[in-house]
Amino acid sequence: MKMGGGLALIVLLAVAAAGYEMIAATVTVTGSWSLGINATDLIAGGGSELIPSYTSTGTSIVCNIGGINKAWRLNVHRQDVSWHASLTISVRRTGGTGGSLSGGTVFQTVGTTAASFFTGEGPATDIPFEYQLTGVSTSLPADTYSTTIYITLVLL
Amino acid sequence: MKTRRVVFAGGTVIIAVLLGTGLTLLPADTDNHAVTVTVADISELVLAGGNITLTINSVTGGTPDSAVNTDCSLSWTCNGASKKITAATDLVSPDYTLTLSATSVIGGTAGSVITLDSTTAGDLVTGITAGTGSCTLQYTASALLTEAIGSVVHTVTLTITSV
Repeated sequence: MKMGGGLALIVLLAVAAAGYEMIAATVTVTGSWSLGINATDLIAGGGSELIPSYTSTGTSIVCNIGGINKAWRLNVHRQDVSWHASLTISVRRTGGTGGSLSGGTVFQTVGTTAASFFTGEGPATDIPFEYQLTGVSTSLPADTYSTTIYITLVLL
Repeated sequence: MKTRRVVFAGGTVIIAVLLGTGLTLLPADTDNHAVTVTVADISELVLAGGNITLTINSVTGGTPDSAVNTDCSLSWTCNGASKKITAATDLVSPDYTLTLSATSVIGGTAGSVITLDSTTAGDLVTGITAGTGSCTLQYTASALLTEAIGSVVHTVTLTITSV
């Protein structure tokens, strides 16, 4: 039996109807965080250790979620470019407009596997992210350490 | 038994429909951004104790007594291995003899006693490891009876450097 062009067209229309919302929903994150650590970050100058913890306060990293009118969840994970095992990166949101946002206001560690960050429903804008880096010490060799943070919108 | 062969002209589309039943479980969109941490080479050295004076003003058994001073100390921080601390004076062949050694060394290995008689730096502390460290500076001044009375001012430069 051979399916004709008519049936294929019906199926195509069904896909278009079912998949429309997935195609339109978007998450965008603007900004990045670059941190420089040098001798000025010693707790009390020569003979003392480095300040162990830093936050991205003052750095503009903003998330927007659009094209959606139903419940959703943001997941977060990282993919290391060049990272050091002693470093831990955490993230939290410090605000946001619309979208019935829930959770994500306490620093949570960003691991290499996706984890729930926070949830919402409908579009949300101007959601500021704040990052925290811990584990800094003089055992960290001079180098550049980089990771990419992935924010994934999941429809519920 | 009869076998019927079914040919789906729109096979690709059919697969999409099957996926469509689970659309709400799939990621809708993803974005990313970078976090970059740049750690500079850190080699910080702090000298405590300020300027010191050693006075030779006694003789025992026909030889002037040495003057010893341990008022000064060094503290350092570095984030890389294979570093050392050197010491040098600004004088060449000065009158009298002034030596320097590191004692009570933490975070490194004491070098040999340095005679401060040239601008060539000598190794005061070697094998410095990443982290913090400290030592006491022991200056010893000595003179011969044949040397004239007087005074000499050294400016001693201490440097932490890569090996």
